[in-house]
Amino acid sequence: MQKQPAVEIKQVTKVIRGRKIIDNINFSIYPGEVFGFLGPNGAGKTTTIRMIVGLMGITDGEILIKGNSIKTSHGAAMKHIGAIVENPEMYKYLSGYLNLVHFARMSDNVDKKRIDEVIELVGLKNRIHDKVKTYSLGMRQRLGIAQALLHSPDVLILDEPTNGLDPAGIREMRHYIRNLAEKEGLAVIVSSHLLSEMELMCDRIGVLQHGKMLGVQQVHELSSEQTQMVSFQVEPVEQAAIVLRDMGSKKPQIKDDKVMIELTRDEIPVAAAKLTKEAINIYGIQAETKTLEDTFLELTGGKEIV
Amino acid sequence: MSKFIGLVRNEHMKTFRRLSTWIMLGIAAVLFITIAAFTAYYAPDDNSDWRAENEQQIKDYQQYVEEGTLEQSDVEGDIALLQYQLDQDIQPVQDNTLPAYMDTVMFYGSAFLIMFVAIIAGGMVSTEFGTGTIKLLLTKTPSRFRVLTSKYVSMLVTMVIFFLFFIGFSFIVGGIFFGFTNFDAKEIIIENGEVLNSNMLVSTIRDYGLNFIQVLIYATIAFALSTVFRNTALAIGFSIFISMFFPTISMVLSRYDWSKYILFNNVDLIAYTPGNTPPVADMTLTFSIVVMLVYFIIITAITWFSFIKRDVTA
Repeated sequence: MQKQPAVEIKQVTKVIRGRKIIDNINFSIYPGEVFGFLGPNGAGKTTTIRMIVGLMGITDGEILIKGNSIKTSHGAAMKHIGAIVENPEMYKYLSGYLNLVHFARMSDNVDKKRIDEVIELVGLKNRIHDKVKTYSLGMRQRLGIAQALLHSPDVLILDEPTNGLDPAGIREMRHYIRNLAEKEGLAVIVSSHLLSEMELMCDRIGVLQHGKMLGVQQVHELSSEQTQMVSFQVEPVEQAAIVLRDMGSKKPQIKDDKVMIELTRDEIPVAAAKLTKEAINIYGIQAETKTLEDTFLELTGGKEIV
Repeated sequence: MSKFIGLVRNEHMKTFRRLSTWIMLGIAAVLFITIAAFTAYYAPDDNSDWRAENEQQIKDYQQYVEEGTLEQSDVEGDIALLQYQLDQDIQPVQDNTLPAYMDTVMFYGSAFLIMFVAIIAGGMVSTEFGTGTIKLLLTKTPSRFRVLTSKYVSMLVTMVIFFLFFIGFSFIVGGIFFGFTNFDAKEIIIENGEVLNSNMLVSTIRDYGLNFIQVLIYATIAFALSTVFRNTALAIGFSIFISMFFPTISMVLSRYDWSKYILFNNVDLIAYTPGNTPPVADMTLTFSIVVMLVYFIIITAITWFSFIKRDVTA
């Protein structure tokens, strides 16, 4: 990607009361991509997001939004950002529409037409004049997105966007976020501690733990590993393990009535043929893709996942 | 600039779309009507003789002094006033007239004004933190300075609206109950043996104006506490508590000369109008204005600084 990054995080450190919450993190987010911010609770996801949107000061380092420093040119930087930090909190005693009018007045060049456009976009047309306190969480979430998109930002930041949504809502949200990135070319930053979520939604994922960035990886890189764990449900297991001994990189393992072995895709039929040749009964073969979760556990040392 | 006006309009929308604001105005309206109804009910008959009443009152006072229930110095002023009215043949302003009614409303209403404005000012910033909406408010293009200033300006405008409501509504209610007459009613005040005549309606409006300063200070304190401590209950509670109990505290402290430097001893400028005395004898109007200005600058500086610098973790 040679494009100009939408968000640049340069050697950012945050110290609160002598404690390093964020320790020298670096990464960039480009237009058209969904960047996932993954980490256990307390890793510093929300703190980082709060620094990007200017709610928290930066102890050291710099954050640039389309080249504008959030520290020194807050207004110019915020013009490009639409954000929901944690829950989509709105003025409950106002209607959804008045909430949008409120935020429209805070931005440049948002007219009535744009408000209606955004309402249409998030599908809240029928309920927009009702008070927000009568809204379901999903509707509030959508109103939150409407608010974030109102001033046509280049960067959309969603902190835990699927929190509290039902499966249908989560799917809808995912679809929505992908659409914004692919069709509108927005740079989207989402944070979550739900791995399966991130895997489906993001192009790249940065893993954060104890305030340190452990690594940024492409999602499909993570999902299609060179080798994968394959389990053979066979009988007798001991004999099968011996047969498969010289295949794969590691020794096969016996687990109940299964033999587990790490193989590449091409090796699976070869192994099956070998077993058949030795007159071993095969009841099932299952390839267990190494999930993002495994990688995540590996990266974070398997601790403190909530 | 147009965006700043937009911010002020936002704050206004939030204040006046809240039920509580209308309940406060409703309470005030009910209060005004109740005062008017009581005044009308207990009004003396039209054909009663005010001269006889004045004479009787003077006699009563003298009798109290002889019995020792009252000090001569306490009643001197009152007797002189009653006697002056008899001598000059000026009928005292009756309670059941528009100017006297408006003056009564002003007298009882000031405590309500402080309370209402403190409730609104005390919630302005802390409520945003409480509900989390502060995160949306501060992640838009306007700077924190502008956001906070727009809130303060909106609070000032709301105060003006409340004052105009108090004056306007009591004028209408008073007019309906007592007729739109007696606009030239004179208030007689005797100060240092000198008799001063002033138009009652004019002095009521003047007192509202002086009260505005007092309400402004209490509102600013509520606003400051709301911003610095992000706690609505503390902000409202403290300002209302001080406004209610400081007069008592002030009396206790009045023997100490330094008590004149306490902000709350300086906020009531009505003390400098004829017929009133300031809490500490050598205080002057200029002194009080300077003291208030110094406190005001310090309080607002801390408030704005705190709002702009601190992390938002709500």
